[in-house]
Amino acid sequence: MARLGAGSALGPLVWRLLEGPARAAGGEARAPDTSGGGTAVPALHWRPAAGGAAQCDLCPRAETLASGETGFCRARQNVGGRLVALAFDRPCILNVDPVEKSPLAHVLPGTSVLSVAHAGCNLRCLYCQNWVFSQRGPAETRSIAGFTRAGAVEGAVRRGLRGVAFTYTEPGVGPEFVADLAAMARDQGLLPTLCTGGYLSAGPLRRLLAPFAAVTVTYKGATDAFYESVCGGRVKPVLDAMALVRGEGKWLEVATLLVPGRNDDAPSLRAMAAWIARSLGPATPWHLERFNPQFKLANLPPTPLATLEAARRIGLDAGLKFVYISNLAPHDANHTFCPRCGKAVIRRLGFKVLADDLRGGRCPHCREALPGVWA
Amino acid sequence: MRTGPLALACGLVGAAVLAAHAHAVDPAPAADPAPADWDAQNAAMGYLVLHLSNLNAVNGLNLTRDQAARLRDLARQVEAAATPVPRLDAPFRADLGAVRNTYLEVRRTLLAGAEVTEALREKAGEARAAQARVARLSLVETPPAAATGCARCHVEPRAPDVRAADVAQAADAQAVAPQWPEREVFMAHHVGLFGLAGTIRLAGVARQVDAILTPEQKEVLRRFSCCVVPPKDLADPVRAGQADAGELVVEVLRHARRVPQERWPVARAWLLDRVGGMLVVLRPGTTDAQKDDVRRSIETVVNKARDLSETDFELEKADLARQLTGAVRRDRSLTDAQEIYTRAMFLMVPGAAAAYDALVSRLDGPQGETR
Repeated sequence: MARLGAGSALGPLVWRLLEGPARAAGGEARAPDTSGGGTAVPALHWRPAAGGAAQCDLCPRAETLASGETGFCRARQNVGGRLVALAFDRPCILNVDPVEKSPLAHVLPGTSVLSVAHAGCNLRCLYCQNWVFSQRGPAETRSIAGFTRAGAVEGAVRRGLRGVAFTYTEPGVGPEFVADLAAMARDQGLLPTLCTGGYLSAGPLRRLLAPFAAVTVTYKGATDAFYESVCGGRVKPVLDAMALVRGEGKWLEVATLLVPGRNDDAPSLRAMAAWIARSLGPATPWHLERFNPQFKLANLPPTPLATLEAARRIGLDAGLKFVYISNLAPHDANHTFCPRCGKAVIRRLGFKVLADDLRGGRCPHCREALPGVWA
Repeated sequence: MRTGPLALACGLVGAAVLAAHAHAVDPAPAADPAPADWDAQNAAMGYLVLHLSNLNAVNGLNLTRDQAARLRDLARQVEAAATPVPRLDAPFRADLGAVRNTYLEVRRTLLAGAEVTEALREKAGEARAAQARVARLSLVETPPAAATGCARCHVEPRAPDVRAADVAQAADAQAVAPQWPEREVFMAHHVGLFGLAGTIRLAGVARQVDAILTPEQKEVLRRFSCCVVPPKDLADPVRAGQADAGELVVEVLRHARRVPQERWPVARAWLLDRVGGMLVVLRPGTTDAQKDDVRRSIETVVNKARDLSETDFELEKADLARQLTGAVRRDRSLTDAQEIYTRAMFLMVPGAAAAYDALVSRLDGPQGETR
């Protein structure tokens, strides 16, 4: 603990003694879930298969799970020939965050949202910034005890939050819980937003999207080679997912974490920028995120500033109107600039909005309408 | 509201890590043969903390080449008027010598624009704790007769190496007297670091410094406080100064929530006992009544954290952490002029010109920073 000195070094030992043996296995306050919170509910998007197996149709992995087997995502399991969703009502993270953290730069800027995440992911990104939760299953993380969807929504409304963001891990592997909570939030006047790796099959993704107003898709790299070697997936399903989100009429922003030496070469970035401009439209915001050494790529340096700025230049040269630099501040590329007159209309310091000059979504200087969800 | 000038300026604000590293003591290296006098050591340590804070500010503001060059020119003006940089290679007490060596290692890393490794980060934390321990044990209730300079408030601890000392116990026995007006303490630290002429020159260039910065950079400096290593909080991409209330504070609240009711009186007493010790360094001059107020505030926050449902706690934890931190810190509003002066102080520390030189070299270098 940086300021009070009771949270590290000797402190934890004392706390552990005080908490007693039953509580002593806390380790990051995320000991295995023994709270009994949450219930495994029947999963969506699966079919019975021969011999008591279950064919999961949720994502491109299209796994066939034998009885007792858990999916690659760790969030779905074949129990007696039926696929069940392990993450239902078992979030491991609840946070009040700025909406900008999702990242979303064109959605209710400067407001706070309730961020929700459950454990599990169907990718294996070596650089995952949230691997402690994403690379474990719901039964391996400590869930929020006593969690109820109604309680969470009520708490968010009572505190004046404007939305509910499903982020940090992969919400797509718990569509039963995520879509249900998102719909409840929407019905109470909150704006549900989704941040996903987009590695989902079309049907399930379309159904998942229904209650959402805004989506961020992490477009991790340009090639199958990158996706296969670093993320454990393929790029085509992600491209299809982004196109589908756009086709469904949802507000879409794209995020790319630039990992030094892995996906930050100019040809790859040009290809990604060109694809976004061509397939999603030049008004699609693109967030270029600074990598912080994490997980299995902790040996790499953070993304150099020069790389981020060069990548931004590539995005702008490709015709994209809104290219942001994230995870690095202060920087001019944290701001939103009017694409017509070039003036800064939303000024940010990292995730914090310092000034929002938009008037009804329009530039106060030239009256240009900027795309986004502004109210 | 923001951290007061004393806390910002005082390089001895080590209470942050004070109790945190109470057990973490390296085997003491042999003391240097003839240590420099106490005042010189004290000034050098205060200088080093401010100097490292300056490097963190320079590295964390993402300055453009033009900004760096202009700030360098102003820093040279302040440097020319200021007291010479204290000797950093003189023999020090064993404890402060080890701290100094670690700080110099951090300095080399920061000047090279390299990342501070986890190992060095930990070492720096221990050094900061050791420095804070010396500072805390040096505070005197009654100044020695005819004391001048730092010795008016700080006398050398009797033990030659206090890295293993239990400062929590010692704090009450050697508490600073509340008779020093804060303004005087503030000026004493500034003049001690910059010299009178340097302080005046600094005030003279402060508005020019301000004109070089963007509003966002000013905002970073507005919430900046002394830091030996840059903060590392993934929830906050601003890498300069210390985070307002990080995960570690939340972790203390989580611990408090997990203590069973029957053990809570003991846990509460332990927690509140540490608060008194921290205040000695973090808020010198705090009276017993004020300490009691702080303890009550902390108890209120912790009790609230314990009473909340888990969902409500998760929704309120950041606010509670801010309240907890705010209860310990001395926060004050600064006037615009004070804000401008304080920003300039962090950017004009003697030795800053070298930091700007290093940054300009990096911006001109093969990494080709495009700024």
